[in-house]
This record gives sequence, C-alpha cells and structure tokens, in this order.
Amino acid sequence: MLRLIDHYAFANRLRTVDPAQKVGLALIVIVLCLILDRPVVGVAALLWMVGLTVGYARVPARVVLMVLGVEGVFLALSVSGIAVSVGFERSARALWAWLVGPFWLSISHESLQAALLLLSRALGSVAALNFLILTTPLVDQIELLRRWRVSPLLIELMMICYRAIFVLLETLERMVVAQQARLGYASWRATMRSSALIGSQLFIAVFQRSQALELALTARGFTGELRVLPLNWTSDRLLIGLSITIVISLALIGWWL
Amino acid sequence: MTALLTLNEVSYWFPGSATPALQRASLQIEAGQRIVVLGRNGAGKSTLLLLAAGILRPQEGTIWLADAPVVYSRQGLRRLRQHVGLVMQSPDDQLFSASVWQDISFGPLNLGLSDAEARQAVIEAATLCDVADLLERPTHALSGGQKARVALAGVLAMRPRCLLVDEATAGLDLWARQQVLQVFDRLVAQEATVVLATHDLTLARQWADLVVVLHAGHIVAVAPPAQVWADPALRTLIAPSALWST
Repeated sequence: MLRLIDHYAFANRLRTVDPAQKVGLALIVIVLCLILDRPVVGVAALLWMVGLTVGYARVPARVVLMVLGVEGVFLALSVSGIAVSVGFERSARALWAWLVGPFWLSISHESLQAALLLLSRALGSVAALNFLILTTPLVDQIELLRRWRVSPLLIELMMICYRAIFVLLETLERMVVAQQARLGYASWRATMRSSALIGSQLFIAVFQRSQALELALTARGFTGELRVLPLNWTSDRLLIGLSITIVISLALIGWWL
Repeated sequence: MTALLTLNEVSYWFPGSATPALQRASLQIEAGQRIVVLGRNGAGKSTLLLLAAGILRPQEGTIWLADAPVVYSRQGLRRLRQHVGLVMQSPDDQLFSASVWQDISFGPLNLGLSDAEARQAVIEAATLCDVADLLERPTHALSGGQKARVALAGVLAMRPRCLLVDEATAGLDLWARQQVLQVFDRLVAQEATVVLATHDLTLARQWADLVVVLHAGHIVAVAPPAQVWADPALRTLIAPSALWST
C-alpha cells in the first residue's frame, strides 16, 4: 500500500503543482467537514475529493477506492461502537435489538444518526487527505515544511526516515526471501523464530547502513546540515478555480441543508 | 609534473586491530589516468580509497593534494573534497534524499556554491551520467543501474579532478556497467583521473592505464596491466591460477 500510494503521488497529473495549493485545499475541506457538522457535507466532500483525485489528477479509480476502502473498514469498525449499545436489558428506544447470550445489542435512532454523522465527516476528511497523499509526494510536503520555516532538524529527520523506510523494506524483503529459501516459515515455531531473528538483524542492518551513510555524506562535504536544492513547482489555475468551487459548494450545502 | 594526489608512506590501523589495514603505502596519482586497484578481500583497497578521500586520517605518513599536504581541518577537508570525490560500493549507502534532484544537489551546496551554480552543477552532472530524465524521480524507485549512475552524478556534481570508485560496477549488468565506464571515459577525456577498486580482471586489463596491486595491506605493484599480467608472482596475489588460464 505504501509503495502504491508513493507511486501515484509521483505519477499523477498534479505532481508538479505547488503542494501549498493541494495542502490548502485538503485542510480547508477537513475543517469544513468538522465545523459544518452535517452528514451531507461529509458525503459531498467525499464525492468532490474522489472526483478530483480520479477525474483531474488522473489517479486510477481502483487505487483511490482501494485506499478509501481500507480506511473505510477501520472507520466502520470504529463507528459501530457508537451505533450499537450493549446491555443486560433491551433498550426502550431501540430500532433493532438482538439477544446474544445474556447481552442485548441495540441500535437506536440517535446512536445510528451519531454514527452516520461521524462516519460521513470522517470519510469526507479522509478523502481530502487521500487527495493530498495521492497527488503530493512526501518529498514535496517536506519541502513545503521547509518553506514554512519548520525546524531544519525535524525536516532532515523526516527526509532520512522517508528514505530509510524504503531501504529497510528492501532489506526486510531480502531477509524474508533468504529465510523462506531455508524453510524459515515452514511451521509456526519456525515462523516465530524467523520473525524474531529478523527483528534483531534488522536493527543491526540499520546500524550498519547508518554508518555507511555517514561515510558517504562525509565524502560529499557534510558538515552537520543536509542542504539540498528546492524543487520547482507550477501553479494550476484550474485547480484554484475548482478549489474555490468545492469550498463554496460545501459551505452552501452545510448552510442550506 | 606535480601529481594530483600523492600518498607518501601511509599506514592505517582500524581501532582494536593489531595488524594494519594499510602499511607504508605510497602512490602518485596524476591527471588523466585510468587506475585500477586490484587485490583480495581485506587487502586494503577500500582503506586506500577512504584515506585518499580524507575520510580516514593516516596514522603514519602524509597525503599531498598537488603540492600541499592535506590538512584535516574543516577548511582543509573542503579543499580536498573539491578535488577528490568518492563513490561508495553500494549506491543505497550514498543516496539519502527522497528525490534524485535533491540528492545530487547536496555536494555542490556543501562546497559553498550558490543555488544557481549548484543547479547548473546538478544539470551538468546528471547529463554526464545520463540521468537527466530521472531528476524528478524518487531515489527508491530507481533500478540498480540508475542508482549507481545517480550516486556517481552526486559526486561528479562536485566536479572532482580525481574520482575514487569503490567497486561501484559490481552487481551491475553489462549494459549498466558499460554506461558507468563511458562516464569514466568522458571524465578522463577532461583530464580527470579515475581510480577504480575492483575484482574484475577483464575490466582491469581492458580499461586501466595503470594497475595497483594490493596484498595484505601493502602496495606490491604499480604498473601497466600488461606488465602485471606478465608477472606470475603478481598474478597469484590477485586471483587463483585457474582464472588466468581462461
């Protein structure tokens, strides 16, 4: 999933657009979803942001829906706790109720409404965040933070962590293949042992790699600050127009409905 | 003629080791040379390159950059790194940044170049290494050959006159290796020197002007390939006899 998101973040039509435009739109949509407090606003935000990601940024619909689906499952599991109440007696206000052993599982009109409101707000916000992560590589987001004068130390840590995630994933995959080739996952016991070994070996691999990286940085004149050139971005007028339309439409929906 | 880089009776012991990784090594590197360093694992090839790049500091002997000894201060090392670049064995150890453009720009900015000059240096190095079309790409999405060329561009953007390469062609397919060698040839044509540590005998024979043979921390020969190949004693130090007969 991480690699898939990263791939489309670099391969979409809005890749070269200034990340400030995309971050700005995503943040405003999230704020509107939260403050307007209407399920219809969340649903409208969801449709707008999915439409923008698929239709304008040209990220394949199956990718957007897959990412949204995974998040949706987590959200649905979370809000089910709000929709369903558990007790020893049947709730008088229950629309539906089931007896499971000694417990009554009830769903009332109010709890269902609260769950739907929460789900719609969360889905609208998540779709806005998905638009951001599927159209803006992390490197651009880090660069934006640099422009906003966030602490250089934090930015350097983010940059190295981002790179290290992929290096570690490759190392991990190689280790797993090497273990599989020697029946490292042939039984439950072997799986546990192999997993534990990978945990410790990965730590050593990280340490060795950090030493090698330090050598390489030193050879290129590293003196304590990771200075790199900023990236070049463009401004997208149509995206600005669409952003204004989305914000106004969400505000009107929240106000009228 | 003054040598570009001179190692004069240089010795180095790694901490905790009783035997030196390199002992009383002397070598003159001149402009426009193709030098290959041969030797078994642990012979001292990487140590030699790390010392020449100023990453390690010799415990005995001196290293001279042109006509002045290398000074191990921040200023002195900056001067050394303006002239001597080091490409590591694994490009993954060198590429730290999220994008190719940013990674290549790291060295020039450390040399104190302005953003405009660094930009120019990045474009020149990327063009030289044939990675100009990869500048926007994330470093983790590159193939092995592309990573090797980007790592090379990251060093060449500092415009070194002497490039030290630690087995950077190992693990590359023949096409990728050929591309890297073409970059080296372009550098040599511009009067730069390339020092390449390798186990590849064919490469050493066909490409090098000069072969440095290392054995157990000692430089045992510095000679043209034909001379090394003609010496049975040297050949046994470099590779098993069965390999020479093929």
